[in-house]
Amino acid sequence: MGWGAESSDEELMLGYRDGDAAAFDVLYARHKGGLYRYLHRQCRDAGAVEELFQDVWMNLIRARAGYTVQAKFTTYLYRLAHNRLIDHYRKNSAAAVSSFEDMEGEAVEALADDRAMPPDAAHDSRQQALRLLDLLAELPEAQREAFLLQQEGGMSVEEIARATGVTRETAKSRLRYAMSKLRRGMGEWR
Amino acid sequence: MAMKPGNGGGGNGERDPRLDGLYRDTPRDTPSAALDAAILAAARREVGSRPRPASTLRRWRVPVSIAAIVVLSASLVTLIREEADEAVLRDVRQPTATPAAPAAQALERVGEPAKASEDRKLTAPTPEAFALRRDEGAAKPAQRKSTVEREQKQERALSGTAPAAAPEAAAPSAAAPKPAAPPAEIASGLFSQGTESARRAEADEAKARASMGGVLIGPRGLSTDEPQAGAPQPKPMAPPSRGLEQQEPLRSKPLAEGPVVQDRARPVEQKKAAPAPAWRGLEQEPPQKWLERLAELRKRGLTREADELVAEFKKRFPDYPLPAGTE
Repeated sequence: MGWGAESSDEELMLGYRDGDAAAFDVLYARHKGGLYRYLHRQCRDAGAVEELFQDVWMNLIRARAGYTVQAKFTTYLYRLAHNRLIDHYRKNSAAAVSSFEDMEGEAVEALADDRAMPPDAAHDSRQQALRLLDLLAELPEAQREAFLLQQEGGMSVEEIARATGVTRETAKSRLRYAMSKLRRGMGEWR
Repeated sequence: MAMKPGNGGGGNGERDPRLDGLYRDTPRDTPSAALDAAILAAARREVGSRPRPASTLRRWRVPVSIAAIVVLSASLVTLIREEADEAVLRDVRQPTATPAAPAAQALERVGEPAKASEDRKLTAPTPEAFALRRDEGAAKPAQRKSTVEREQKQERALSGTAPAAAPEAAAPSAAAPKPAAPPAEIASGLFSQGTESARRAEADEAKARASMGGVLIGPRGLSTDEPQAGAPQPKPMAPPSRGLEQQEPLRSKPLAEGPVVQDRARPVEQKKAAPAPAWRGLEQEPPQKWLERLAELRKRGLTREADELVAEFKKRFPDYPLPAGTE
């Protein structure tokens, strides 16, 4: 069977489960960048990122025989990545782990409306992007993760909640905090 | 189709187009080519190993192995049994072709008991062993021993030696099954002064039994080799304490009086005793011994046996002159 852009992630994964390595090639090419950046921006140690990245894909490869479509493939993939990342945090950073516990069940508080951040053509877009990355790095891990899953995984709040194993409200809260802080930071920087 | 990464679509009003745009302008880091190659190679290896067929094989490995062992064992047992039966049949056919051979072989065995027992272990069983095989396996060695002992006694009876010389032969073996008829009966069957035709009939019958390999028809009717429930146990072998002349009256005790099931052991003895020639035991003896035996037979009026002995004597000692009146 020929695999291409029209094939869904789930079809590709099922094809790989049934022994078609070409399906995996397409699937990998489609998601390798997003997953790598997700891991890289959550864990800035380049060596650790490569190890984590390889582990996630190897876990996927090993689990292929038991794969069934129960959710979006990206949810499945980033769930594997999240679990591997938590393991990494547990070994290396207790503070990072606590970040995932702080906002559990926390109500979304009223955030300052900073949506009115106007575009500023005077600033170089590249410089703005780098500033955004700096702000992103300053976010707690859980909030940063929610934002990255939205941006790199293209996930909705529900999917973020499923991938990270929290309630929808928690996921929504984390995402809104992250976005609010980023907007505020960009407005101040401007 | 799945949503492509970074394309948005999160919905729920939780997206900010400006932040999305800014984030898209961030560097697009990707894994190294080496890492890509390693992961893709691992994925192909995993597919190449084909775990599903392997797991199927693993699932059937144990049952198939057990089935193979069972089939091989059954085949081996069947083969061994067939070979044993063929060997027995071969051994049964051999004495049928040469009627005088079994008795001579038996005499040779008596002369070399140790060797004979070894031969029985190493070579195919004899007709008597074939008959005995159908009995309980545990009794086989003792039965063979008792059979050899009976042959020895018959030989002694023929040569006129005192039967008391072998008292252990008279004692019934505790392990051996009790034989059906005492050797005195057999001796009387051989050396009775009854009609010539009766003796011949018995001898023929014994030969027939030997050639039939165990399906024995006794003089009183059909007897089976299988033990019969409720059948009376054969009596222990009586010591052959009487001479030939004393055994004569026993001839008048017809075997027909005994229960039919007692024939189980009897035919074995009869088929061995019947073809025994008058010159039995003299193979290794000098001519004088032959002549002594001849004189004794003549004296007793056993003309047929005497004639047989003379014929054999002439074959063995063609140049030896026979004394007058002995022929």
